[in-house]
Amino acid sequence: MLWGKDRAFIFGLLIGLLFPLLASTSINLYQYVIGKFAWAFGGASLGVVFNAIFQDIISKRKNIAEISGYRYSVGSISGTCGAMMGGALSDYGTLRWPYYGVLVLYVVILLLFMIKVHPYLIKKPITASRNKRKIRTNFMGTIKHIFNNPYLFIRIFTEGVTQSHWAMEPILFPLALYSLTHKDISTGFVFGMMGAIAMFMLPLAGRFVDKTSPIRGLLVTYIFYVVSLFLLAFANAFLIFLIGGLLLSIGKTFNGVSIAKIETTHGALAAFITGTLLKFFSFNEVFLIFACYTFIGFALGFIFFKLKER
Amino acid sequence: MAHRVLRRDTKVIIYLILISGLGVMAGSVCYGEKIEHLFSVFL
Repeated sequence: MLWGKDRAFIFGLLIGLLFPLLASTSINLYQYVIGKFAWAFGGASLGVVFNAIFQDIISKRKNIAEISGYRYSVGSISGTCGAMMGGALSDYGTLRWPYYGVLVLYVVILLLFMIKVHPYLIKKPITASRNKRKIRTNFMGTIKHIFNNPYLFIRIFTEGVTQSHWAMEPILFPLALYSLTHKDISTGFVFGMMGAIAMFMLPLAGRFVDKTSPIRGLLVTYIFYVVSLFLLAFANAFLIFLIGGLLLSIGKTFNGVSIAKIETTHGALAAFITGTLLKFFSFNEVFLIFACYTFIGFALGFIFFKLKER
Repeated sequence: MAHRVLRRDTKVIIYLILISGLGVMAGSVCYGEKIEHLFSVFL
């Protein structure tokens, strides 16, 4: 690679700084679109590029899944704090204030990275990533590598399914909870509880995956997902829904750390699919569709994994 | 020596976890407000 991941991270985040500046001062849609374009650079830096740097550094450790567990755990607290901070900022100031919050956070991240992480990356060339790079020199090589590696192959199935959950939840949960309780606060309560349980479970799930295997972790995920989604599909009371949500959250923690050990690629059709499905079905029926989809997707993944492993 | 390298690794991992957390926070700060802001500006 010509550029180096650290420089790609800094460059992306520097362009990302334009997002809050342009979006908050938008006077027309074009300016907002350019702002969103800059945001994509910041997002890519903090997402894909950051993941690559993080994976390079933890790849030499034995407790990869546990470290990932801590990372996601911190992420889950930060996500909640961020959302609350955004709400508070816009209540206290104007709707522009949350963007200034993003600006401050981006600057802090940049400084932290340049002062504390960048010197370490320069001093210590990472060899693990070079090996990976050799495998992925071209597109067809990457595809071949994924199909030949049983771990990456099972990931195609399970991750397609679990990524769909990320987009399904924010649409379906509030809708279902409101229809059950007729109170908006119930959504906040369920999401809060799910976040709290994930925060504590993530390091434990990580330790489990490190001690056994990511495939064992995915098996636990599978059990929790299927049980919880069927529970959600037939939930007719708030308590059953809450239990279903908590079990789903535990499933997610096992999935997150297992996948962190296997690696990453994404799919984003699920929000559109959920929206479309809701036009024709009730929320219970959509949950049922996701339950069946999860059940079949994971099962196929495991079958193919076993066949490829032989 | 190996121990010191490991400790340096741990430090950087902690900073990276912190950066990741701040990144998630930055992503969620204007999560709900973005649409509201858009409406207020363009409608």
